[in-house]
Amino acid sequence: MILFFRFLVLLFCFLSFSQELVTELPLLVKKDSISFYSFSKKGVSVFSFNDKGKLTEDYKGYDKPIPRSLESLELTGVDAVSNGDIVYFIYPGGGILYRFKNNVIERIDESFAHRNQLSGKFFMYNKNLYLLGGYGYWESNSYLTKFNFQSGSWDLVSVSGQTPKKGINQGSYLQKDNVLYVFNFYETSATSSIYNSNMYELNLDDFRWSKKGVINSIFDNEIEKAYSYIKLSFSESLIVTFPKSFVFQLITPNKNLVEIYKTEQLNQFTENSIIVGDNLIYNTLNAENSGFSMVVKTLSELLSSPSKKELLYNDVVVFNIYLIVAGSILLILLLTVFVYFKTSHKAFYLSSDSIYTEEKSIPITKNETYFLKLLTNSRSDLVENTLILNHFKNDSISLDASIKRKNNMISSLNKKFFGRFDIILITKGSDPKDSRQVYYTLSPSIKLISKKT
Amino acid sequence: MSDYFYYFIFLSLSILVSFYLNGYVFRMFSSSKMLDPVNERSSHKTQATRSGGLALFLTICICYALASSVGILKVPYGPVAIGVTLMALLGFVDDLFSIRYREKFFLQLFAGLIIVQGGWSIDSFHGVFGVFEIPEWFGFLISMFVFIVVINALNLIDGLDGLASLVSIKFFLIVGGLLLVSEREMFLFFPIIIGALIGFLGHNFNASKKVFLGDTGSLLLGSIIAFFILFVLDSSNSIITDPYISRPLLMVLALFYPLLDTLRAVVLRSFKGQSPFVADRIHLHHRLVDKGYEHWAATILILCLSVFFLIINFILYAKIGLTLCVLTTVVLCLILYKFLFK
Repeated sequence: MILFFRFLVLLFCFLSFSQELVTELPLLVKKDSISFYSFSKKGVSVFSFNDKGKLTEDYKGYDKPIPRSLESLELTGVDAVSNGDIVYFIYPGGGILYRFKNNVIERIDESFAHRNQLSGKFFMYNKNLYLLGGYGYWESNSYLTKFNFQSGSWDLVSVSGQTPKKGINQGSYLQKDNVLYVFNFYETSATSSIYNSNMYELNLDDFRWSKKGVINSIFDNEIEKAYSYIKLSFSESLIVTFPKSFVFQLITPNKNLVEIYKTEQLNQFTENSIIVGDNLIYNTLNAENSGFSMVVKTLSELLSSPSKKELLYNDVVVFNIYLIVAGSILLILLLTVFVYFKTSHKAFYLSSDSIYTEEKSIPITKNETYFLKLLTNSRSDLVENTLILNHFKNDSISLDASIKRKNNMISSLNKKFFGRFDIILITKGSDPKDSRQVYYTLSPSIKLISKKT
Repeated sequence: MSDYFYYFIFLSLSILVSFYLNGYVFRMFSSSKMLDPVNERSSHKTQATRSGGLALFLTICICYALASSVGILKVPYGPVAIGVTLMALLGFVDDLFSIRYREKFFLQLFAGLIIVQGGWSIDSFHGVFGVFEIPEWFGFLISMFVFIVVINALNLIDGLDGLASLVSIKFFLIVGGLLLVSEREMFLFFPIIIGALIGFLGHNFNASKKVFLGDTGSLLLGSIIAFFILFVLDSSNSIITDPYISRPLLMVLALFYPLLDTLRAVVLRSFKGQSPFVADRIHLHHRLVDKGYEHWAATILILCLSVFFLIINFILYAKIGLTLCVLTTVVLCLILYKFLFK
């Protein structure tokens, strides 16, 4: 009995003084330009900035318990959109839809957990709810589904234009008026995730997709990093940063601009953040994980001066570098052709009555043909004087006359050839060992190819 | 691995594959006695085959298959592949048996129809004559016209060593830049085709064993170029040069020599009362050769001039606008014609 009493005392002490672990952060949802909701599983706080910029809180417990399917989820993993007093929550992957209205969160769909649009973009346009893209069942998709408030189901919206057909996984989205900008995403299949480097626009009036160009290479293209990125809509821009990073990007698609800021004030930044007016609001768990504290930062202080500005897409720098590379390739190609033809052997073709190239030709006599055949048939394009002289020797004429005729023939051939092709055909040389031994050779820049007629 | 690494690898690969295949197909054609006959219009007097187009087609197919398997090349292959392959086949048959022009023209129309119906057509004049959007039926007619003109223009200039290939390389270098920043998944096609053409040039410039593109090559290149022109002129595609130069003007300048020479040849033949498709030696490149330029020199001169026109227009467009740019180009063309070609 005493033992049992001691146990009860100990249990009472434990329950009274033990620290309650709070690990689940509340979900922050923007209400309007001065207020926002902070949803927990038990109730909701409405925070408002008063005239002096101070934050006031109005907490209410829910009038009814939240739906069971939501109970088992971490609220920060749920996407929400607000329409003033009404907030819609979508179950991860799509299908199940909840509505917060009159202090009650209730399920309003007649559907089921689709699970094929994880990481899709949940947004509202003209009071209609849409879910775009996402990943599920081992592949990404670019489905655009619209919630049908009458039937409680999700209808597939027919889109046109340059749809990212292989899907949108872990994309960056920004809604501005009737345009949804989609970029920096992956086409995921069972085996791979391929980065899609294009900037897309979806017109929300006619649901027409259009490609705007290739986005800047400053963005990471590793899917592993994409899961960790924090993306926050701010006016017409998107703030993108990495947890514990001192650097964040402010992306403004309609200005084709990326501004890069460096600050040490954002290193506690978490995904569960919202921007209300000029204020960045986020919750951070304290060191013991026993609770969280809300942090409010004024954005105008953080966004004072960017450290760098880049184009979001159609990077002129890349194009200019390409132009230089392409111009160089063309120049190298032309120079190669030029040098090749200037330095290479010029090919001439020898037939029984002419020497020709592809462009020009000259007629030649039988003696010239004989001489040139001797040259082409010799291994080193070289003919000894005696050999050619023998051809001209004749019993009816003197040796001098034969020599004269030979020399005339060679001189006339050279003259004729030079006149037509601007190159000397035959050069005369002598054997270094015996200067009396004269030979004729083809000019070194000439290649003479004998052709059968 | 970086995309740029792949671009370099595939450029090198296609040069090597093309160089090897051109030699291989040349030997096949030579051993089968499928040599290009020498006649009074021929620019060659030696052994030559019209096997370059086939080697080019095979090189593109091999490299395309490899690039697709790596997952870094996504050319809209369906209708374009069918249209381009049809043109290459038509050229191949024409190289072997000589098809009549009417039949060739009909098949060209058919290939154009496939590509245009595939979704790539001119839907805007982009401000030429003050016209922007055009009706769909008119866009269809214009697209078909452009397709036929481009294919035949490239076929007509294929009369000098290296001319059609170097002009095509210049075109692909320009359009490649546009797609690098607007449609990067298609960009790898450009290193592949440029490499294939460089590999071919090695054989085309060979003095004793010449390889020509033939109709296979010129129709293949023509249809690919025509597709990219339709692609660029499709207003739904974003093009980085829009603030600097009019798209139609840029495309005309990218393919300046073939279009100019074809226009001149058609006008001259029409004045003489001849068919615009008759084969003769009135082309500008023939004039250069007849004036004593060697093939390579004439080719380089033509290419340098067309690059000069491109640069001039790029510089002047922002300052003087489209109409004055066109007028300046016409005047410069006339002056150059007087001094270089007359």
